[in-house]
Amino acid sequence: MKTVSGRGRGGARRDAKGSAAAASKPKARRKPTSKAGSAPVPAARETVVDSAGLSEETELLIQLNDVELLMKEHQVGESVEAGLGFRLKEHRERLVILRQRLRDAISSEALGHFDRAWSRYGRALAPVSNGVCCGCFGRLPTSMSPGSLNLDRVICCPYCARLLYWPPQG
Amino acid sequence: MTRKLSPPRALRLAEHFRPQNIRIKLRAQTRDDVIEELTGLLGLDPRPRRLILETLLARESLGSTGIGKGIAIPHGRSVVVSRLMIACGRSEDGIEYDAPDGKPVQLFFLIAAPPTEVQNVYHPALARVVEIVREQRTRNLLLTVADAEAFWETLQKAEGE
Repeated sequence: MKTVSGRGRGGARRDAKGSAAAASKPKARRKPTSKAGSAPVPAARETVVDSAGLSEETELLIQLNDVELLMKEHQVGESVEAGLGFRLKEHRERLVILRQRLRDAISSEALGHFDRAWSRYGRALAPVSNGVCCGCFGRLPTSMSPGSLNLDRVICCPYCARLLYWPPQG
Repeated sequence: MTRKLSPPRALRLAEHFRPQNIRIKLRAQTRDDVIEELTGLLGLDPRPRRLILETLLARESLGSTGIGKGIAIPHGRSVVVSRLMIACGRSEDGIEYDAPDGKPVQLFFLIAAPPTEVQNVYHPALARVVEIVREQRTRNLLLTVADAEAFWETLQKAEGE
């Protein structure tokens, strides 16, 4: 889901102050609550996010991005690698099948964001480094720190709409 | 006041990896296993490592990255990599790699790069490896050196020549 903050860059500047504190003390993910007397809220779909902050869907999107990039770089007759002496097959069925398998496994909402960003920039994903989108170099609001986000959902940059992911530190 | 601009520096492969990214005795016996083993030398976390492995195997499906004379250069771009990364390996017995000359591959140079770079070093790095290993003397040295440090130093010297 696209998480677009209503705040502009002024808000982002204010957020920069708190980013160190947010990084050192990550907020606990908010649990679903129910009003007294009403039926309990069903548990949210189990999120699969590891220490690297990559959800399963983000992994699939990364793979799709890499496959699209590979296919783009190896357009028949346009490849730089062919000039370096690498033999390239003209049949790319395996890649086409892999791409379709990945697209089938990704939700239509995430795929919509992916296709829009890909057609606009030729690269749909951008890593976040020190609270900055590495696609457009816009500083993200503190509310978009990995500790306060539900990382099993696809997060888009509020400025450039690229899909964001948080690579492991180090 | 005019500012002097220094000429662009030539790409130095040895600046992009260290002896710890080299394995002199690869254990793998198949193409996919050797790529997996080399990916492990990049020093990435498990999940990014798996993602770059998928990309490298997808690249192999487009055509073997074996270039003949016992050399293979598996390579690919992925968003999980933030800079140019290189890993090297040597197989004692050689591995069937669908190389153009049909010979088993003994020397491997894995290159991984991000999708976009400020300075394009990915293709120059590929070209540099091809250029270096074209020299038979360098190939023979790389096949005979005793350890990873000597392998790295041989590459560094070959680049300087």
